[in-house]
Amino acid sequence: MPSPTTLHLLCGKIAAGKSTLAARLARAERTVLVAEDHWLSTLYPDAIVTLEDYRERSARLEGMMAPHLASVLRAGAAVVLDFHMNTRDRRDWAKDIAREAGVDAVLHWLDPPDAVCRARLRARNAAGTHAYEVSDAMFDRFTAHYDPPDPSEGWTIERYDGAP
Amino acid sequence: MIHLVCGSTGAGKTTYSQQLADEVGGMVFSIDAWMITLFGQDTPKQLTPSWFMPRVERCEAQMKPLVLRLAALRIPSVLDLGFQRKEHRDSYRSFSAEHGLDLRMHVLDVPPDIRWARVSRRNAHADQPGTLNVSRSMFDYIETIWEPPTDDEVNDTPV
Repeated sequence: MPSPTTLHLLCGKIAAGKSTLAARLARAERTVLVAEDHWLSTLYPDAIVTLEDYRERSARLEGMMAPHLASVLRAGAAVVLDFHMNTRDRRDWAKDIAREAGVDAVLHWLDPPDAVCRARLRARNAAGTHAYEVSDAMFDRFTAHYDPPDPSEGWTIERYDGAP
Repeated sequence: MIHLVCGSTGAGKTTYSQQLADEVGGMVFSIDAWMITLFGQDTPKQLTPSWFMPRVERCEAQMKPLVLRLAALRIPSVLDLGFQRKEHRDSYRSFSAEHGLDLRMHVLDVPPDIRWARVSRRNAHADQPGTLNVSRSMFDYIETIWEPPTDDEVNDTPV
């Protein structure tokens, strides 16, 4: 039997640096990186415009992905899940995967000031390096739903005050 | 290592794939479950290859990098992608050769009357997640594209 491994999760607003940190964490041995934006943009090209579109498609992706992630973890590889963990529902979904696979989960929480996120977002939009371009208005709309973890949820948290 | 599980409708590919994955400590990629979960709600009344095929291709495009990453970690992948057509099997043979992966083909050769009986039973319990309702006309259509692998395609142990 391979030894139990870890599910790495990322919480933080848009452009807080989740993907940058995810890529860094994924350099560890025996680790698989799965990035939500990459999956959504390939599976649903041009279909995600509004927050509702995103919610609906990402719910489908969650359903498809959960058993696969559990199976990778059970096979003895760590998983870096570059899916935002900014809502309670999303975190509960991830918690079930870790429980199902019988592994520990770590929540990496990036919490830079909004001004830093916005500046990073503008730079990213200008560079065109990300799967989705996000306007300032979209940043506000997504941020309105940002609900960081409460201690009662019982996560093991690694906290980062700046962007990575 | 990648395992290709090949057979026509109702051959038992998904059940077989799951058992195989448990046996080899691998991961199953079942195209039916992906299509239902990811695109089921968008399915048009009249299912056509021009709607279906690009979506299957998008799924497979996402599977491949994951299969490669797992292979690098010595975790085998069990591909439950139908593989009714020789061209489809050949494309995965090229993929495995290109990336230096071992490939093993598993052929489920079950007579059509037994398969149709299974499919009808499954249709009667269509609430099972990951299973498609397959009409007799769809079943017959898939029979016309089913190209059973030849002996030289199956160089490993056939089932």
